[in-house]
Amino acid sequence: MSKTADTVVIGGGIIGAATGYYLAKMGHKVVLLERDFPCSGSTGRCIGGIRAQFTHDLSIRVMLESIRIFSKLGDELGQSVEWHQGGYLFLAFDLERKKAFLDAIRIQQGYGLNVEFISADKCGQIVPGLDQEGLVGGAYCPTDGQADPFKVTYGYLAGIKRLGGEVLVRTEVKQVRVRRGRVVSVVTDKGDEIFAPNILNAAGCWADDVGKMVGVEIPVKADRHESLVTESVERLFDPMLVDYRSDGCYFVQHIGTGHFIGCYTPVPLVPGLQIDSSDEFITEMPRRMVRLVPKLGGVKVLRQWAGSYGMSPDGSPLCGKTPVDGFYVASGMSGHGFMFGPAIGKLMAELIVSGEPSLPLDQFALDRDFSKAEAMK
Amino acid sequence: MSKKSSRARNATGVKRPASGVKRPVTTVCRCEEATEQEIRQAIRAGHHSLEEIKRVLRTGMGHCQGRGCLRIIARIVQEETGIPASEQKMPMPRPPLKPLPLGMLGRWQDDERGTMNDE
Ligand SMILES: Cc1cc2nc3c(=O)[nH]c(=O)nc-3n(C[C@H](O)[C@H](O)[C@H](O)COP(=O)(O)OP(=O)(O)OC[C@H]3O[C@@H](n4cnc5c(N)ncnc54)[C@H](O)[C@@H]3O)c2cc1C
Ligand code: FES
Repeated sequence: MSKTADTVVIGGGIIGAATGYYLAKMGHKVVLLERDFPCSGSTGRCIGGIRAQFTHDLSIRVMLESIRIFSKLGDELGQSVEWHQGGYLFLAFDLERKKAFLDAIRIQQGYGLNVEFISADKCGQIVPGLDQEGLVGGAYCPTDGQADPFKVTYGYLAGIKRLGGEVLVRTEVKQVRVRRGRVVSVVTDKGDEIFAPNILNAAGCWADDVGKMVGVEIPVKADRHESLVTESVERLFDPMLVDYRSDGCYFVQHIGTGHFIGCYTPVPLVPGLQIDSSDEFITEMPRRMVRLVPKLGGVKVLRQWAGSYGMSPDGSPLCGKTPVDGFYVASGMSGHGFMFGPAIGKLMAELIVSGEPSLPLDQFALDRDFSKAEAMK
Repeated sequence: MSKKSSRARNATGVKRPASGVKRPVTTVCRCEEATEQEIRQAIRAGHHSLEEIKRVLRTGMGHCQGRGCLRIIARIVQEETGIPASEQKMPMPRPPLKPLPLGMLGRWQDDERGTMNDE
């Protein structure tokens, strides 16, 4: 069987779903292909945190746009996405970290972000029960927030269908055909061929495999991140708490459901696509959480799991055109793909439809200089 | 299961009321309060595996981690799609298999470290 589309989207995670939606909204006939089921990749393992506290110019701009979109997304998609503006509080336990936060805050305030460095006492007011021992203060932005990755992704996918596009699940792209430097079609594991002048590689951690189908190298490397969720309890505090110490962690209470959910970045990193759970995490993560907020000690853990971060060389996304005409990439979200998703989706759709995204994506280009890393990874 | 018997009983094993009687709401996943009707709707919307249904309705993500509901949902999937319950992939059991307090899990390591130091 063969069919045609204006754009074929490869990948049913947040990036493919959001881009597909904005493309369909701009009038493109979209066919989205997902080899397993939607959210089966990194998106279904994500904890839903959303923030604009970055240091990279384009990351801040994109996140300001994403937060604008999130705040109206429920209305746009006709269903709740559990968006709550609970803020993010990055904790500083030494003066060096405080200085790094102050530097970041100066940059962020330049974009109009409502962010400030607050005292340890103020942190304790915002997070009742926070153990202030050794705490110097924190970088607090009340307009950051949280949303439900499943609801957002499924909402976008439903939108694609409503706008006349197709979402084909359990369908894997096996081959991308190119003629004279231009994409022509994709061939699926079912032997179907879908012709389209534009093909978007939104295959997350697997974007390099898809890139190889047209000879384009996508520098994305997976590493494993673990997570746990607790039972649901009464609302204790609103912001995502981030502790950047080498044995720190980050966690948030889901405002809609009352569950605490969180992760930490292992030192050293655990490279590769394996997503098994470790015994170390299930004892170490609780220790770190209880150290920060001792009264969580009695809250029960329901389950742990793991997922992959698709990392780019400098920790910022990889988005834009490639050397093959009509072949686009949006990947390497480096642990922030959910929050970037709505704005990246909109900008990629603009790039594909008109060639001119409302924010230039050059700083996320595949062929950029990767030597300057994001300071608030 | 013959067509007839599958119509007479629903997957929860409860006899369906005679026609004309309003069917009561059957909660299948008690922890996350998902009803039989919601589950059937999700399956009809294309979510054919337990893993996918879990993603949309949170079934299996509650306090009992699916011990109370997954088998029943597998039978509903069988009724709706014909995929035998025995051939459906159960969501991976996630540790800890029983809910345990953060405080206790966190101390576990301290205790282990402690014993090691004592040696
Ligand atoms: C534990 C954890 C916590 C996280 N917390 C946050 C957070 O708080 N905030 C945040 O913003 N981000 C967070 N992230 C990161 C976030 O989950 C990812 O950045 C994001 O989901 C990436 O989305 P994606 O669409 O690029 O990739 P994916 O969701 O992985 O989607 C790619 C899809 O492509 C499909 N695919 C691959 N190859 C093919 C093919 N050949 N044909 C068809 N389909 C194919 C895959 O099956 C997959 O579904 C977290 C991640 C983890 C693991
Ligand atoms: S009954 Fe479904 S998770 Fe407990």
